[in-house]
Amino acid sequence: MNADLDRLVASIAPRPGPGMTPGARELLREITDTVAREPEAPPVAAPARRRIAGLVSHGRRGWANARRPPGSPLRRLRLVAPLAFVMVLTTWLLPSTAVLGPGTASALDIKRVADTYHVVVADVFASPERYERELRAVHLNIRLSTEPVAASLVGYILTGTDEITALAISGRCRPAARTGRCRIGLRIPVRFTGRAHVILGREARPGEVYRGRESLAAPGEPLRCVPFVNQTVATVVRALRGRGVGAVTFASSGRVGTAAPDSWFVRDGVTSGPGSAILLVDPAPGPDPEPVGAGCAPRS
Amino acid sequence: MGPPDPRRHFEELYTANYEDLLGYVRRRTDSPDDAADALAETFTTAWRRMDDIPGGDQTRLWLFGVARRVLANQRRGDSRRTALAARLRAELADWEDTAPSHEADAIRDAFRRLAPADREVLSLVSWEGLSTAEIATVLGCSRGAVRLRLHRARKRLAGELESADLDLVRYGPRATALVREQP
Repeated sequence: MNADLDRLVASIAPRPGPGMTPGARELLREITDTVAREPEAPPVAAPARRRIAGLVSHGRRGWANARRPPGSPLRRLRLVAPLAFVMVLTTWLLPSTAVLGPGTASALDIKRVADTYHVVVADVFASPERYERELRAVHLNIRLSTEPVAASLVGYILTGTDEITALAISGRCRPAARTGRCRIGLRIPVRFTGRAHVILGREARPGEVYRGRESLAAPGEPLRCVPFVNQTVATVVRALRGRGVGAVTFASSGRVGTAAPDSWFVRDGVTSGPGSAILLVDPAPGPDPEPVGAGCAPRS
Repeated sequence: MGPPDPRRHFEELYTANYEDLLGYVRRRTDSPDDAADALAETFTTAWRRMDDIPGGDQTRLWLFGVARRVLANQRRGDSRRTALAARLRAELADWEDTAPSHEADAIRDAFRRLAPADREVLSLVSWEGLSTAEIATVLGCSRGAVRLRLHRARKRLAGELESADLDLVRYGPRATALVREQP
């Protein structure tokens, strides 16, 4: 009876997809590592409560509700995301008022500038508990952690509130005189009374795996201005090695390996750590790629 | 014995339901980016609300219900790309469906002409293999309402197939009977 029509509908079911892939397992890890569970967050300020309520009742709202300008390149931004993310470029503001909290041994340098705390991460490898303790000293209920990210993402923040913004310019960070590392930090309104979880992108140490990846073609990344999409594996690997990226992993149809035929084509690629990259490859070239980004010198 | 480890519990839940949920969202999205986003958001919601998730067979239905709302909001234009699942996005883009046959195209066209609500109940039966009670759980309505919606959706599908000049006899007596019920 009804089974006739049901079988008919079943016959046009799109195939369900490639099943459990490495990317699926990575998603699992991203979620459990970067997203705060609800019981860990209360009490929260009213705006945050509304966001959570929205997430519960509308699914999509909440962390996806973060501010993002139209046409921004987030689709290409391989940054591991937390509950909600706001990626903000701000200019570096020099502190101008009194220093708060303890001195040189702090993991954070917290200064008040008018109605805003400028929080510079002095020790980017300190524990989240230490950051939290120091933030609590100025009555901020914020959990802060740093994660190794691609060079062009250093200084970006990921958070569920749009009140907290980044204090560094990604890709143009200011190396601190003492450490030579990029200074990264946050701007937090003094009036901020909610609970927030903030992840801040930091430089990776040798051997670390990026938790925030970026396209190989992004500004500041190894193949910026190099039209590598639809080039052969051999060509792209050679280009990467010439730029200090010697550890290349290949992904194709849900499989990942350390080797791929030289004659295959590169569809996409991301940085995966200092000196390492992942290339998405296929036996056939893909559709014509977008031209290399603005700001690249014209090719002769 | 302490409380269950949430991370381990979630990993089990994720592993057990990932393929079903991937199938659910992949069948209802046109782009791999949308599918990856929907998966990421659905499982993120699950992780955050793990204490609310029912156990046993109900887990999958709860996830379908969340994914349904996520997809509905995507269609309303409230879609924003998440940076989660970058690798998954690439894998789904790389994964290609097989080319449909000509006849399947005609059936698919008839199916597409149905209202979204009709497609929803029909696909939950035929693509996810859910029972009436299970569909009621996913949609948050009564079993009686599901039965009514199913009957009407089947009737309208049969009508669309007939108007497309497809040979209804091939699809069984029920299809023909449903067309005769058309006003």
